[in-house]
Amino acid sequence: MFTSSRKFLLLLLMLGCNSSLRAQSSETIQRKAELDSLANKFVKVHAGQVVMSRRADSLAQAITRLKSRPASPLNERALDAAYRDSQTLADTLQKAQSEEQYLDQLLRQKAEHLLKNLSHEIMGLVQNANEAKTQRDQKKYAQFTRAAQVCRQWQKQCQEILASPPTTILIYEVRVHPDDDAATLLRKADFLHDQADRLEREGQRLKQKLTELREEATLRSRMTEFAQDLALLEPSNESAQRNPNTGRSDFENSGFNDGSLAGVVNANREAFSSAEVLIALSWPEQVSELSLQDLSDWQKRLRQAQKRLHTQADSLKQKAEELEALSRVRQELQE
Amino acid sequence: MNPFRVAIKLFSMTFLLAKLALAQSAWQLTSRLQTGVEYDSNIYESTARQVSTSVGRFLMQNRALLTAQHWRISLDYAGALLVYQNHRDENKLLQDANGSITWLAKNGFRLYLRGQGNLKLYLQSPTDYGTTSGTLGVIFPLTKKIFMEAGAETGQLDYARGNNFDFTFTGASLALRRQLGAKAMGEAAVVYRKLEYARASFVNAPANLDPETQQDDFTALRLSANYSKHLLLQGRLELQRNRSNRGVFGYNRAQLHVLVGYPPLPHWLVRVSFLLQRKRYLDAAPPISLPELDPEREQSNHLVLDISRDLSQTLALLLRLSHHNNESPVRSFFYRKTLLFAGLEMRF
Repeated sequence: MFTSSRKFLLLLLMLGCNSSLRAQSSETIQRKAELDSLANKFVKVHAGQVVMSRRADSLAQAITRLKSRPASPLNERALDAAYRDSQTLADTLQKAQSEEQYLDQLLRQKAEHLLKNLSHEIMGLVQNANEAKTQRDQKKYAQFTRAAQVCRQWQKQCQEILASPPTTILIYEVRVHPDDDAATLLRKADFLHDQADRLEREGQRLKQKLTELREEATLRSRMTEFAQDLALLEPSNESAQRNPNTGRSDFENSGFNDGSLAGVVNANREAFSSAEVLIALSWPEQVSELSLQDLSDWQKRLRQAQKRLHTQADSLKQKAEELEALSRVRQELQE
Repeated sequence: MNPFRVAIKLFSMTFLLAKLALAQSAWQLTSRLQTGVEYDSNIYESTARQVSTSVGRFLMQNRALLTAQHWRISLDYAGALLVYQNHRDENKLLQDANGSITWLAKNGFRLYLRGQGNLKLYLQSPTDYGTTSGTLGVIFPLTKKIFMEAGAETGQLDYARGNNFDFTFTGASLALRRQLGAKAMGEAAVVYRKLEYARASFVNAPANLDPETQQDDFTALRLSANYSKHLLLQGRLELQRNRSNRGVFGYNRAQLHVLVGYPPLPHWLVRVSFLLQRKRYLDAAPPISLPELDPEREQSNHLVLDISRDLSQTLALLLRLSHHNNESPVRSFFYRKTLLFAGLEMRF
């Protein structure tokens, strides 16, 4: 599983352990540098968004407090200022979210390109290392081996970026104030449409992951059934040496389930935050690492998340349409 | 004994138990029904006189799983009824039951108790038998990617009539499992078993009969690997060594088993099982000894090709072709048989 914060940590680590070795080709080094630069930007944007999110939270609390106070001219002015601040903050956050999403897509593209390069690169380096070993050139051998190791590390990082779920989606509440003019209302409606579109896009990605999980679970259980059929019906390995573990090939018990590493790791991991405004999507990076039980659990969680995304997107769209209608009414009134 | 009456009673009982399990919402229950017709080219597993016929086959499997935060209970029952046309003496009811209870600790440590039972009822033949075994084992992580599994086991085989071929065994196993990248897993394991037969050992005693019973020491080294990406692939190489106080049963054996599952198109699934064996007996002996009474208990070489097409989410068409070249009860003699099965499978 790869959450947004883990991605942040990974990118930080990537930036930290960026050792340059001349054994790699210049193209690969350039692509890695581009990826690092993007990762750097992503980290900054993400950090900025985290700060803004905290500000938004504290502002929402302040507004709630102000509302609970008895009405007074001073209080009304403070409330008005807070609303204006929240509007500005929502706009900035929208921009930051769009930028983060854009960077995320770019980062995936770059990672994909680099990954292609690295596969060739590693093969070449291993070949060079073998040649150096044959020629007994210890210095070159060590250099190529070290470079291949670094390439493998990069390869792993790229794979993790590609397998990671999308960044956390923050849904900000958009409120209509009595003094909002038609243009402001349209802007707010646009904001809601953007958020709904993003949720729908993520819903699509989630659907793909669900299909992947379902196919893996089906394939595994069908293979287990096949092995069980062979043990039960065919002239089969039930000899004196039969062992429940060795006599049959069980895809659930022979490593893919009981001993599954991810199964152990993910056993108690909660997938989703309970916060209403925070839609933290997460899914397993590699479905083949999961046990059958974990595959089933993940399917359940992702189905719930899919439902939630659809509901949230529909609700945002409906709200946006209401705002558009209201904007039209206000426009007519102003005219 | 009426085979249908027995089958109906057994199936009804398990179905009822399954329904009871389902009534408890914490249990996850899955069932599978398979029915069809099979052509069997050598129903008696004979090396000399091959008799072929068509076989009606009905299989039912129920699996129940209860998962709690630290516990997992798994129960699995499979029953199959095989009815041979014009050869009622070969009709049989096969039953396989497995159960396990696992305690899962947070740090990846797992303690399990696994039980297994197998009952083969020849409905008009006196060679019914049952096997049972139990394993107490532990799985624990050595590093982030390496797991170790250690287990102690015991089991037995018991024929309904006579005890000449009955045996008990105790043993231990140790396995090292390692995640090889994201899509593969490798395993190396050692298994040791001591088998105690009920029959007397016919060793080189003056009277050709020694009061000692036959005892075998069985050791196996197993190397296996699983790969999963768009297809499932499992390969296993097992090197076995059997030493007996009855010399004619001492042997070395190497077995290679490959299982492949591949969906070539949506709704289609191809499954293949390939087993190849090389067995070498240590002592030369006339081919009279009977290591096992039931020829179906020995598996040596086979190729099984299974193609299935999903008609819906619950229903699938099955076609399975298998060819076997297995060692018969007579040492070093092999019988061949070909099976062709066509049927339907329902999963719910």
